[in-house]
Amino acid sequence: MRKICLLTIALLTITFVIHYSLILMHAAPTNPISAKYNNLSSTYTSTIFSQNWHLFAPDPINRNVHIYIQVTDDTSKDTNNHWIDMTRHFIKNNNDKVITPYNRTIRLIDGIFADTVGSNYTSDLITKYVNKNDEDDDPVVDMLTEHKKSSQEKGEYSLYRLASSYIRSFMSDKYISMKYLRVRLTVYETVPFSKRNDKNYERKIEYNKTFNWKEISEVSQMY
Amino acid sequence: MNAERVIDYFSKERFTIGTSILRIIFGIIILYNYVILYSQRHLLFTNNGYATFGNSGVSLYDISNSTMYFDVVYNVGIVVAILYTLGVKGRLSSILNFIFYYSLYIRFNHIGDGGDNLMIIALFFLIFADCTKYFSFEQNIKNRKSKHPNLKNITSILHNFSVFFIIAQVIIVYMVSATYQLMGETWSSGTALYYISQVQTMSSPIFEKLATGSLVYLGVILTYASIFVKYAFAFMIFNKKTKIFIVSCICMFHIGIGISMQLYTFSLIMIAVEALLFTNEEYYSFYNKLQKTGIKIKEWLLTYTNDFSKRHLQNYKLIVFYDGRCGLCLTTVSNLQRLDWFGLITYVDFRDSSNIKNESLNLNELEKRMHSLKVKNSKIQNGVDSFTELTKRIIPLWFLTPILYLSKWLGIGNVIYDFIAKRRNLVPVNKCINNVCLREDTKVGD
Repeated sequence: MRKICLLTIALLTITFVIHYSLILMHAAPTNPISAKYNNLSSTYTSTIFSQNWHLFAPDPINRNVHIYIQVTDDTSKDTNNHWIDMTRHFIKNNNDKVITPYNRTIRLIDGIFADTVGSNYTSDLITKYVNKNDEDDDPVVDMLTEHKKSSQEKGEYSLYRLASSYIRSFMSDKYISMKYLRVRLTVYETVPFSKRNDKNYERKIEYNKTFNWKEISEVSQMY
Repeated sequence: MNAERVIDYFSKERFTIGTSILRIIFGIIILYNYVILYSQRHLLFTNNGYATFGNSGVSLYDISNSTMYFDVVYNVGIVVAILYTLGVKGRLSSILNFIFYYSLYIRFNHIGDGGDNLMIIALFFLIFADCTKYFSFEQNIKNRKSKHPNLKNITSILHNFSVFFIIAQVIIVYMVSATYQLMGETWSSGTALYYISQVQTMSSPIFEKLATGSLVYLGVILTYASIFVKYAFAFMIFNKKTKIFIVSCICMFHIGIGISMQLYTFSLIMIAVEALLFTNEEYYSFYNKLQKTGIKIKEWLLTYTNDFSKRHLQNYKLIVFYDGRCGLCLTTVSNLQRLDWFGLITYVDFRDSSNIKNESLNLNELEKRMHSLKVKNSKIQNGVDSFTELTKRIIPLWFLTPILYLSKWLGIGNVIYDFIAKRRNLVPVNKCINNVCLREDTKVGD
């Protein structure tokens, strides 16, 4: 039995060392060793041990994303002035109560935006590589471009579904009965540190895109 | 000889209190997530919601796209989480809880955070740990069951390693995230919190103040402090004295994040895993120190409030006559004595005839109902009235006072009291109290 105990300890110690070597290769900043064993560490951490410890680093989010929506029955009409800021609803509900599902659902705003612009790819190694090699025929660059495209499609899909859910859940009957919606994503920069005392400083718009009219989807409501 | 020492080191039961605490906190957080997202579950986690979910092959929710199936799995997940929190069928509920919660976790998509990530990894390792040794439904059964010593050694080794795996994971979280912070320009220039505080989806209105006035400079200090604390954590947890300091710092750091960035579950998870850093001996030592401090505070209060109590509290003194041959009564008296913070109640065993010599109390009546005597006016009360007088003098039982008055007013107070009192056991089998031993259970009136 003594031998079994020792064998167990030895096996677990070896597992410990191998496990955390792979975890460090995957989670820590890219270096020559992690680059060499990237395939192995990525496969190992693809399910239960998947992890990302960037936690607002190296560059924290410094933008305010707003999702605006419009609804209509006739897409040929000019409805440019009637934009509804859906984000306000999430912020207000999150700030008003401590115990609320909005504490989680508010994260959809930034998450869907990141998908829509394809900026949610977190593999440091590939990002580094692509920044140095931007030739069109490079397979890694092609892979990232493909990934971005798929992410943007996914993001746009989620954006419209979330907006449809918002319309069905919170807008008056007049709007619910309408057929089409379109979305505008606007991103405002935060005030730079050097301009913090400038009362007249106007926040710049970093991103502004109006998407096409689409039919309002049948989607679960939010409460 | 060295091999023995290695086996002893790894098979010694060390962290069972920490794992039990972690089980309860994780269980509560998981339940909170299930419940708080219940109304939004279809929107967030099904294909009828805002996103599409492909077949990941590792989620129970992938088996069918039906909403009814989803609801069944979700609700069963809640039941499993309750069993896990209570520590029912420890290992089995731990495995099931991991399977159910992981199935949901991989559908978290945009709503997840680092806390969820760490909790899932820790939940996996906790499957191999003993998490029900304390504060669980199983603890008494477990303490009675004696495992074969060799099997106990192997399970202890597994338990200790699972804790080491989680602690190492926590160290990696802090080291890696602090390193990423150093790589960022806003973190190294001390302005990161200034920028984050302006992001409305990430900051509470309190936190937004860090972007204004002189609080901006507090933000700079906190930005650097966050990096320092994370690095210090990895080095300071290995020393008993510095460990307490750094754990306190980390707790304050996460409380700050919780309030300012409204990342409540994230903060709670990060604080909860700290429970594993303390051994059972350290918990017992904390507990003893806490008890000693409590006694000192009580003594100090008694000394400084002596005059006050002589002047006022004497009027509230109460003598309670209890049945010294009733197991339930003995346990209750023992518990009540601990809660009697002002020492207002004196408990007297009416079975000892010398105790009731000078009182006009009837032994038969005393057997039927608990009696009490107010020292101030010698008023004797019994049954539910006695119990009401007790609760009035014991602060933790104040909540019962209105209920007892209501029961008396409704006329059911003494009916219920008599029902319980008549069925109390007198001196359980094989137990002797005050040198009185009975061979069989004896009921009142037998």
